[in-house]
Amino acid sequence: VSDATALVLVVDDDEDIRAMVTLVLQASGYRTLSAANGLEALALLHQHREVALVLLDIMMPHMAAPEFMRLVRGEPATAELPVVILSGDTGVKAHAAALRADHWMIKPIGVPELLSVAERFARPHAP
Amino acid sequence: VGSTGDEASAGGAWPSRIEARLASETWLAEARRLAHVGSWQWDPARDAFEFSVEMYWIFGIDPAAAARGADDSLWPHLHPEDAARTRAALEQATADGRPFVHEHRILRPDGRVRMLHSRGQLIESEGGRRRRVVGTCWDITELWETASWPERSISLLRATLEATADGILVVDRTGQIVTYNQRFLELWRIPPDLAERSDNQTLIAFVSRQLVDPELFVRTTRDNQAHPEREYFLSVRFKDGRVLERFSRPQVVGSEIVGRVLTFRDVSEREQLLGKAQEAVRLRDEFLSIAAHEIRGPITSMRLAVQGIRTGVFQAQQLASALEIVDRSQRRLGEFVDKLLDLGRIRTGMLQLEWRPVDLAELAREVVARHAAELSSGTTLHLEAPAPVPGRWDRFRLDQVLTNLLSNAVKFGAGKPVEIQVNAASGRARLVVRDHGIGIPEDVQQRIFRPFERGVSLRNYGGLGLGLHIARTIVRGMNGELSVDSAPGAGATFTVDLPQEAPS
Repeated sequence: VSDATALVLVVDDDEDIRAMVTLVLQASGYRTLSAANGLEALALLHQHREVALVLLDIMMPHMAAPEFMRLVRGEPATAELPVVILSGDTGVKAHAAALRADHWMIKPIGVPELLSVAERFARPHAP
Repeated sequence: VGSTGDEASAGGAWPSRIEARLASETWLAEARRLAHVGSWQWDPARDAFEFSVEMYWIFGIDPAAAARGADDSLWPHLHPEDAARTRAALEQATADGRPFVHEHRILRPDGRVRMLHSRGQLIESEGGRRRRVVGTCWDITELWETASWPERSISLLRATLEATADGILVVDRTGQIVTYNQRFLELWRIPPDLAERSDNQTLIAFVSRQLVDPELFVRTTRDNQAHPEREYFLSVRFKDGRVLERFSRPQVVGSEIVGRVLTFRDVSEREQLLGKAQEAVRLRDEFLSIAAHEIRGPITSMRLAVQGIRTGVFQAQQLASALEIVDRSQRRLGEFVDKLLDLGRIRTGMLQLEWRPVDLAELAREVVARHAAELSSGTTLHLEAPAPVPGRWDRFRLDQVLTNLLSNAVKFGAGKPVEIQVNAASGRARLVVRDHGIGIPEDVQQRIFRPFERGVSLRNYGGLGLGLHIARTIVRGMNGELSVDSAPGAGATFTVDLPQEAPS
């Protein structure tokens, strides 16, 4: 995998999904961070400027996706940061567009899908 | 009927024939019978009547039978309500000698009522020794019925107007009130004296003040008036929650529009039922969406784990973690199914309780320990259960209640410590779970115990919205109560109060 050292931030209030997604990414050579909600995710983004991709759930307590995306897109440093929405909602495509996300995946997601998205968006930051 | 002179000039060959017929008593009798006119005389001294044969026809009895002497008096034929009045009129005529004109009813043997027009006058003969009141009687029933038709129609309309469940208002072309029924006043809470003395504008102002959207009402009322030929429909919403439907139709006399008839129907109950039904459908849809969400989470974890294992990407340690997540996910699905089954049992009244000796303090320790092991959010649990609290309860169901209260406290506790207290006093056990989280507003506090309802928005917090409903049902099943004490921002305290003795 060419982007093996890229850092991916996984944001989901479901602890098991979070753990499983990071496990798969780590096993495939990615570095990961995880957050249970938008607030935690923002803090992590602030600390880790090298995050290459955010995988984002929509419904979460303490800052859901809309507020998070508004702040992320409003900040010059993260305005262009690739964000992929991960949701079980059938309207996820429209949601992703409205949230100005780069892509979307419908839960339940599979490993091949997850890795292809990671590979497509998680370009490592220039050293 | 007298002189033939005029008729001679008018009819030529007729006079002699008419005279001939006039002479015929049968013809006269026939004419009187057709005209329903009878003649009579009354001897006041002897209170004795003499009737012409037509009188018997009018009374509805056979003249032949009457001739046998059965019916030689007026009095038995009079309608009971008119008897006294009629006798008084006759006696008055006898006393003052003035002509008398009197209308009264009679009652025929077959029960039918006839209206008679009687005229008469006192006639004295033999130097005043012989006194008779002589007169005629005319059956005017048909005429009377026709004459009273408008009056009866109006009375019928009035009765109909008042009998209907709708409020009715009739206005003229200028919008001035013509008539209304009591229901109209009731629906609009208009005091009767206000309706009597007010003009239309005052009334419109009075009623529109009660509405959620007074402007709309006033505007459409004005519009109604501007287009007298149109029909209108408006749903009127009151501030007190009632809903009236207003139908407005032109009132037409001949081809002319003379005004407008407005009917008001109270549809509050229907609206309420509709609202409840819509709310039930909304809750069901929301429930389905949450249920899907609750199932999808574990499935996502399990799918990733299984596919990861199959493709062999995991190291040994990662494999162990993946299997642990699979195990947790299947347990979550199992719990979810249990909740659905519980709901089904509650709905069908089939929630069975198994009464066994249980130490609530010990049970609380066990549940708290289990939760503490699974906590990852940094929340700490503090149990205060100094002494055993024995009782007879359903252990499995109590475990469920505690688990629900604890997971809620952790979920909404904002990461702050959660305190659990178990104690007993005067035969009752108390279990208190207190968090210091977001709290629950007063209006939401009762709602959270209803199925599918949640205190917080679905967008932010998952969960089926069944936990507290199931918990309260279980506690009540054990003759106890589950209550909440909370305020926004001040955390929430849930208290389980249970009798220690099982019902015998």
